[in-house]
Amino acid sequence: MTPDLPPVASPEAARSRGTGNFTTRILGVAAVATLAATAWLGLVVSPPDVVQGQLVRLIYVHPAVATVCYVGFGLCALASMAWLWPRTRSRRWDALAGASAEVGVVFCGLTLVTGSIWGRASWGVWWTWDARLTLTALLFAVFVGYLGLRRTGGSPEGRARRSAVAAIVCSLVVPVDHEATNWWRTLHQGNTLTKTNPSIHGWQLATMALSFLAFGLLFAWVLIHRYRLELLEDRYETEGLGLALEERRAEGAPPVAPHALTSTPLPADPLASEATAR
Amino acid sequence: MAVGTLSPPAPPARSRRRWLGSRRRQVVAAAVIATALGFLAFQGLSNATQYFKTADQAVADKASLGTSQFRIEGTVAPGIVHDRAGTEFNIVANNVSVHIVDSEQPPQLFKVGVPVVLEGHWQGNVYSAFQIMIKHTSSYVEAHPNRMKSQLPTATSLP
Repeated sequence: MTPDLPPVASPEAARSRGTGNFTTRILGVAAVATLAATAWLGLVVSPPDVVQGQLVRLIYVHPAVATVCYVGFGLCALASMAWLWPRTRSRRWDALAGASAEVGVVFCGLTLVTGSIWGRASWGVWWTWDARLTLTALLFAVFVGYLGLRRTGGSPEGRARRSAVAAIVCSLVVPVDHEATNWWRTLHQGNTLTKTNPSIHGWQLATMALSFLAFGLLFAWVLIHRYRLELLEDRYETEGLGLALEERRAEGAPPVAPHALTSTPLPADPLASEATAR
Repeated sequence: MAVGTLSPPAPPARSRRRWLGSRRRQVVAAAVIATALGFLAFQGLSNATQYFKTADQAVADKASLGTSQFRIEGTVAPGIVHDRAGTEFNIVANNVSVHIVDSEQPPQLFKVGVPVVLEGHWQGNVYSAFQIMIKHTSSYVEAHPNRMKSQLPTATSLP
């Protein structure tokens, strides 16, 4: 659950504490526009397929979502490496790793759902234990475990270290999953776009390419917001602690008569002196 | 106790070198373990991911397969027969044909020339299947590639 942000003094300050700015708004508008264009091209302009008929329209969602999921997990691994490297170690890399893993898990879930729907319609089954499907399910499971690991206790440093190592290990599944259709016999089709001569053309190719752009923009937009939210949570914890201390000090301070303010000095604040000693 | 009998502390540079050496050994050990695990995982997955046998492989391994359940793959040959009991057809792979008797309704994309993966077992010389799965390729061909062009105004139709 995301905690509420502390109250702020002015609307300008409230805006500065949000996760959006001009760039993210442009990014969001671009994501929505390209998604709408993909939907229009995919549902109206693009013709049906000779073999799959209308089912081909799922190719404008499923491969793009799967690729974005790979990108999310890859980014998580890179950010984790940056955190582990002493010269680049920063809390921001850990926050980026967590945010990209979260968004990647969402897109991985979407990959499984859209793939299952497509599989039921084209293959005739919702699920089969071939290498590609099994590894994608494994990928989803290990990164859900990674997100669970990030919620474990301990010092922030220790938690970040454990998470970074786990992210790198978990991300090893990504290339294996991608190459599963090349290395083993699967029911899942091979890669369509990674060949030197893509086996898709015309409107189908154009729409598929646009879908990659659209879901990529959506991923970037969600990722930036989630990343900033992670940093805001840090800020909340820091500032929230300060506010709580101030409230406790106010509670602990004895009521002072107005005339005493001028005549008698206030007693020393034990919480303040404790904090100074620390 | 005399102070002169105490051994001098190890120089820091040497301990650092030792630590680096130990660190290097750890990295090498981790790399060896990771390589071994990767090799084992690849071998294990290779065996576990024998997802199907092609029709010719299934015929060649018929004696060892017996009546055990396995998946078979091939392209649907002409001559599909639908009746109340199910569907009968032949699949072909590498010029080897297998007669299939299926008890379930085939998927909507099932037709002649489509590669399929079936789940079932040998029953004499016939493969008795209880599931048909379509194995479509990664190639896509537009059914009506010129349909948008046909809607555009031509030079002769323009005023």
